Amino acid sequence: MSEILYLIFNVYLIFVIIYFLGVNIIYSLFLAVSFKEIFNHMRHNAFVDYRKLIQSEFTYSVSVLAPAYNEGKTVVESVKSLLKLNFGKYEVLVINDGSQDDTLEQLIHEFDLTKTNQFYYDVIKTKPVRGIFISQKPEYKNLTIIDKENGGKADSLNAGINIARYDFVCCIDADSILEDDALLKSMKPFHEDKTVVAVGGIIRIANGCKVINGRVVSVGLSHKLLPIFQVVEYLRAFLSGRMFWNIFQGPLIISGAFGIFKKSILLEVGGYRIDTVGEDMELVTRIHRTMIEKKKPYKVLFVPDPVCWTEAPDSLSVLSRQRNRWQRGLLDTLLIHKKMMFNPRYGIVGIGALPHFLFVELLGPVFEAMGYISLVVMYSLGVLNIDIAILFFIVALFYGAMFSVGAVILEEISFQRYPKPSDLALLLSIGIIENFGYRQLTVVWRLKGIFDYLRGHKHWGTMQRKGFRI
Amino acid sequence: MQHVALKIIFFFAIAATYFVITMSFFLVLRKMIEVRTKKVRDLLFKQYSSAFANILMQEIPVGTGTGERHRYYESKLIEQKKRLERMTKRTRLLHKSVIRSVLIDYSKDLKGETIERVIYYISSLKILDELIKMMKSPRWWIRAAAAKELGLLHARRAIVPLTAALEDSSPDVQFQAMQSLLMIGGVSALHNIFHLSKSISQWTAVELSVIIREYREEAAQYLLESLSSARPSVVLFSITLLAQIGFVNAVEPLIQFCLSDPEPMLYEASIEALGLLGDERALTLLVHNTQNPNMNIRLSALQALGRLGAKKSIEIITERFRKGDIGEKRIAARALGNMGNDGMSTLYELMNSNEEVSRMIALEVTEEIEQGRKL
Repeated sequence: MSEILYLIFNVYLIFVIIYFLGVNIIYSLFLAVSFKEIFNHMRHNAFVDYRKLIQSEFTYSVSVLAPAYNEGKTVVESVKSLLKLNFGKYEVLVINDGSQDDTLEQLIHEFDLTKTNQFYYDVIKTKPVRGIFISQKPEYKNLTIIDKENGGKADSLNAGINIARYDFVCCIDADSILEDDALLKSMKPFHEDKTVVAVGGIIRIANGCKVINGRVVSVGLSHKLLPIFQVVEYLRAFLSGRMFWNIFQGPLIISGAFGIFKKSILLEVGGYRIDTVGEDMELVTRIHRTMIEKKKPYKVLFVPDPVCWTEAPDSLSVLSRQRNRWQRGLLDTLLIHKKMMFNPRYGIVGIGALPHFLFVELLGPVFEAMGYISLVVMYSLGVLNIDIAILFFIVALFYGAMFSVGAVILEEISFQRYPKPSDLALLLSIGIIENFGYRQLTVVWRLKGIFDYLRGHKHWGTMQRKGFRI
Repeated sequence: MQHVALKIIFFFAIAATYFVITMSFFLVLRKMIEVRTKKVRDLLFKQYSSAFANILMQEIPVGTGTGERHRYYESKLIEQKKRLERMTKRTRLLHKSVIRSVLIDYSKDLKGETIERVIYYISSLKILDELIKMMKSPRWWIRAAAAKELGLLHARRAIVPLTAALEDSSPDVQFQAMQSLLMIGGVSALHNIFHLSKSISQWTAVELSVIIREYREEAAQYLLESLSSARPSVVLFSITLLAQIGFVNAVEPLIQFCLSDPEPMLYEASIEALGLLGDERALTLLVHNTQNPNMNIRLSALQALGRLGAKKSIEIITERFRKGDIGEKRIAARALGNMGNDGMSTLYELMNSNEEVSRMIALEVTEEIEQGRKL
């Protein structure tokens, strides 16, 4: 019996080693390609004068969609900040998704809103719209508020898409902070290449930054460790991960917190799906799928310098719920689009991106957890080669550290958002520290996400934010 | 088997660690060099700025001949040249790049004889030759930087390589060349730009339009000329810009262009442009196009009629309002709203329409107009 167990665990160990090797080769490739891509991007930007985008009549106009649900405390500041963006012609559409608090009242009071007779036609079906409001004040003439029955973030965005006046829509979270030039920078690819249908910018963690009047005025790191772990994670995910997919048909995810789409494409694919918690990834995957099936040339791009600041969870319970939701969203998207998986008809999306998300992002925590379990079982059975286990652990640590430190280096040689040397040193050390405890915690949360999904749990859950207004 | 695999992984881990350490080391080293180079450059910049300011401010008698002026300019450079010759190649490169920045900085604000001096110094110090040579670099960003600097230096000698760069494979180089040619040759450079550019992307259009708009009607001649270009993107750019400049004399050529059966995208842009130019000569063509089977052209025609405010077209617009989909109804209603009392009366009538969507749209647009919101 013990011999059979020994054999099983050995076979499993070999599988883990091969998996581990494969994953790390992929990540090394990501990092190497990202270095090249970021350098290219920086070189191109050296010749750009973004002021011309504001001055020219050739600049495309944008509708900024900000869904709000129970954001009474912060919504006024957020909207004011959106109205001050540095861009030519744009409108701000705030969609009040049936908030239970005073979100709508705050907006009506602050912006002197009146209900209009604007006709709402739902090209994409949504929950009923109760009213469309505009401001009486001329300085807010580009602000429209849609008040609708609660239907979730995706439903709100669909309502915004239905009413958007311009050919490009920027979907953001109402409680995020867009940098002044974020729209300018993210609209550039649409002007350069007509086949670009969607562009995502980088999301950065605002915890620890100084925010005044809805603007990040100085960048820093939080005093708490949890948000700093997330800073490194975000750098790794955006600067290394998404940059890599740019060289193919583009990334599979454009963060729900900040993405710009051609409105015609959103209408063509039917807008956001309302029955998934991973609506942002699902939408982009569906765009890939539709365009490939219709054999239309297209590009989805990640641009690393337009920044959207967001507040990261600083408590374990909120973070665990967020990660749980992300994992459920990922699994849901992969199941919805399972037809594309390993299917050469879908090009690199079918044979590269989706399998990567399946084996590395979705099943990664499963394999990792099984690795930990098998170590314990093998140890208790007395069949564990301690030397090999220690060696394996050290190697895993080195690799983990390499990718995190690599992402921090990418940040430092390109955008240098963290001006203090102490912050840089802290980020580099976090790249190593996160492998002791934090990484294992995320594995548990992600596993729970898979488990919850299989049990049929498909809700968003709550995400409490403290707000970073000063 | 396990041991072999582990050895391989271990090898990779060592490579990874080596990578991280090396990168971190270079990162720190790079930062140190960057800081030092910046300090040195800033210091040199100050020194050369002051030295060249002295040279440029020394007056030369009015009426001095070209040869004599050049001899005078050269005499002021002897010291600088000797010093540069004594330097090592690396230091000389740094100093020359600083001198280049200083002279470019001066060339932005100077005029007349003083700018002639700047150009002479650039030429005499072989900076111009180096920049022209850089235009042949295999690296696009070096070519683009050289093209940009040649423009800032108003280097007429660079017109040939800059013109050649209009056909460069890199859009960045192309645009920098366009910008520099306009800086050096003025509006007449548009002839070559429109003639030689492979295409004008929307991004180039954004950048170029801001520069060309400054020339206003002076640019119109070249824009009209390019309506016959074989490159659709160039034609599209010209049509749009003619409308933005508000060049009313473009109405007839644009009508003729529409009659020449261009591709739909260009036809639509011309209809839109005619609307923006707001000239009654286009009325017949616009009315005719409210029945165009291409929806985009139809909508452009309706919008154009709205801008024109031609009351004669109320009937045809009302018809489109009744027959069209929501988008078309909205545009038709807004066009009616622009047509004074007659148009508004029609809108009020449409508010009593039997069809719900028509009624709602008429109500929405009437409210927009009454509240004075921009349509």
